[in-house]
Amino acid sequence: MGLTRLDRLGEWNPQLFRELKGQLKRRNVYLVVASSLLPQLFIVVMFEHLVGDMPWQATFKLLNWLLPLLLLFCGVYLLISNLGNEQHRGTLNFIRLSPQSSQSILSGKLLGVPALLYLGIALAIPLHGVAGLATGVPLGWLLGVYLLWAAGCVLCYSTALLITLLNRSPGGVQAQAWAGSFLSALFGLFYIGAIDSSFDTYQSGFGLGNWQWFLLPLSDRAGLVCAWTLITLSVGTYWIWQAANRLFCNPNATLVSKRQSYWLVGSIQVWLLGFAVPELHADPSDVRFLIGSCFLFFFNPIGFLVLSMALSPHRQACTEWVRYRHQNRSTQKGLVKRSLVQDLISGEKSSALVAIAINLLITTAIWVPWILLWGDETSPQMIKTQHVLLGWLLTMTSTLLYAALIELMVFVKALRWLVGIALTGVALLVLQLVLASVLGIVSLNMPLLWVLSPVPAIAVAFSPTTTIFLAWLAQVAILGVFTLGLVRQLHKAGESTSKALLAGR
Amino acid sequence: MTKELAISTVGLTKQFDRHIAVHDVELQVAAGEVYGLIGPNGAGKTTLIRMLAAAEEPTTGEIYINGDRLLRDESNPTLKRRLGYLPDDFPLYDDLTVWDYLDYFARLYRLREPRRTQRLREVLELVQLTNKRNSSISTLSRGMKQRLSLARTIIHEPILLLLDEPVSGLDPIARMQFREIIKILQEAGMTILISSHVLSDLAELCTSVGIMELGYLVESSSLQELYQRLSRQEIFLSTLGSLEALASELKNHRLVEDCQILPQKNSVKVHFSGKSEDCAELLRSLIAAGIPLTEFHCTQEDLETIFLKLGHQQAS
Repeated sequence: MGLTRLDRLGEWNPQLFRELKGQLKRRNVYLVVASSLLPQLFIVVMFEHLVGDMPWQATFKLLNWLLPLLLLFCGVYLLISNLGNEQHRGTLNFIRLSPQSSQSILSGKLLGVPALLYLGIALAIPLHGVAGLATGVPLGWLLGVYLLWAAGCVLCYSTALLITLLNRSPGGVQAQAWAGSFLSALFGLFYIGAIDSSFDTYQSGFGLGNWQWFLLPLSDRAGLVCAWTLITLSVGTYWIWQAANRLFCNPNATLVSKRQSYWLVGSIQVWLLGFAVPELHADPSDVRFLIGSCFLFFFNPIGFLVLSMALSPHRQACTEWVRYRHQNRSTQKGLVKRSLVQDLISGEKSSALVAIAINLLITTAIWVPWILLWGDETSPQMIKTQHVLLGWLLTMTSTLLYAALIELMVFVKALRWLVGIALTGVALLVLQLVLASVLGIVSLNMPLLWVLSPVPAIAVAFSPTTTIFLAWLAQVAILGVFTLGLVRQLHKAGESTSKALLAGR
Repeated sequence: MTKELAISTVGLTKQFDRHIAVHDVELQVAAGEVYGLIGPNGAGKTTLIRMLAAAEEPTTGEIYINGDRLLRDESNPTLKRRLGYLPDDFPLYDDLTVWDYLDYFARLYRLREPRRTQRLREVLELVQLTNKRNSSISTLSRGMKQRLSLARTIIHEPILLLLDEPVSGLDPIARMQFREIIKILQEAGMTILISSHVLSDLAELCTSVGIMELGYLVESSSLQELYQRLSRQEIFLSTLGSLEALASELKNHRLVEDCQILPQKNSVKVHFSGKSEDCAELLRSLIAAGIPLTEFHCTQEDLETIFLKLGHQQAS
């Protein structure tokens, strides 16, 4: 009976079937059952003797931390080492060639590889639940906690799969698995801590201060916070899952496609904006303006740097694009000829600079209304709206500048160049920091330094408008040089071999 | 075109960085053929096969399998089920038994019961592993593992088999077993593309041959045509008398192209451009000239010689 059900499962998801069949051996199952039940018995007996009057509460607290940490630590370890080994040995390639979808394979791995772990944790859930109820935790809260655990695990597990697929260097699978599981345990500590402490706060009836998201009062309704966290984690998981599937299908693909990146950036910006939306007629000194500018001027530049790395096609893909674009265009099956513009906006192998620019425009469209809310002429001590807009302009240009630099580095052949650029970047940043600390605020009078850093908005706060404008012109000039360099590199990569041969390269 | 094409490529090119591994290849393989791919290491055979198996994306160019365009990016389940690909390395799962391994892949290729069990039995019998069905894969010999990999490749009854160096590293008996299996598969109607360094194996198996050099497909024709065009007739002769006398007698004959004395074998090799009747005439004339012949052996230049000859032309 059980076997036929397993068999039917195998028709639905062969990968899950294979993992379960490999792991659910009788001996293993007995071992897991024993190693889950015996410690439970031990915990109950121990707390009864040690804690005396409140054994249930102690049991609940312990399991509340232990179970999700075990899930994260062991689960991530198992997934990375399993998938990493398959990738390293080359068996993954056969699965890739089968007609199964990447979703079915990866979900099979996700559900099947930690199957024994799931079994062990599931056996401990009744004790956790009973202990919770006996301590007076409401049932709804318990269910919410289980959902949050699940969402956190799925997020970490998908990330583990993605990182394993990203790392294709031979060897080091075990080291990666350990590193991954420690990182996820670290995430788990914060995550469980947040769940735990918010439970205490909500129990006490105080709420979490004046915390709102798009004016949703997340601070005083536990159910709302839980639902909001679940949705946030699910959207995050969705994007990571998409990237993992792309990499599984084609290991040489970029992490996200250009079209996906527009939605990704849009969703992240809207999510961030939610924290910064003030009430109407808010005081300009409202903390949300500060939060918003942090997101806009500090978080976004870093985020965009990561995005440019994720969007930059591999050198091989880029070369193929420039070399054979004219051929592939005429033979495309869709019959619609793709223009250069279309290629730059949505092509798989094309240069990512235009896509980054579009993403910046999307971000601008989302944040400009918010910036306009700043305009409060009655408060002269505040930074003016035009300054904020100017700051964002500087940030956009410097982001593009860094994106161009990242793409240029794709083409830099010799490693010493790469090292040279990296060292220059680091040296510049260190120089700024040293200047800032030695000369105090004086270095801020040299806006050029800040303007060329990833966070140029700082310059705006302390310089007159004309200086900023000149700095912006400098930025544009450097961006122009980089873009020209990139176009030249692309042209060179697109030359035929015979041309390169004749030119003696 | 009289026969349906199992494989057809148009301007197939693969470039790695500045290096062009496969250059503008127009490969056409008719359905039901066994097509042998020959070429020195680094000629682009493996890259070509990987592209045909959708394991590698072409830089440019198109691949048609039975007339349908093969694309890598779109998941193309029906077309993927027509292909069977055996790469030159064949990693397996050591933790599974032979049966479970094949069952897993049969499920991946969406074979349903009762067909699945039936197919597993058929395939195990074909590769002579029926008695090993419950053994762990880690206990198998290299030859058995190779046959198990072949079983995995054909479990979903593909109509096109792509085999990359399938007999390399096998002992002569395992090699012969493998050849027998390939013959059975060909009789079952599969189109098979096979690359190998062991040219004698290819000569025995193939109906057509393609030769690759530096990324180009320099030769592609049926084996018969290739022999007709490139292989010369050779005659080996031995005598009790002096080899020089035999050689000088041979040089007088108008159809003898050249004559080479092989002292260690105590024989003479000549390239001969006549028909069978001319051979008989040559033999008669030699005997009439009083030469004490002990051997007169007509043969064709084999595939290896042809290949080496072509390689020589390429280099010069």
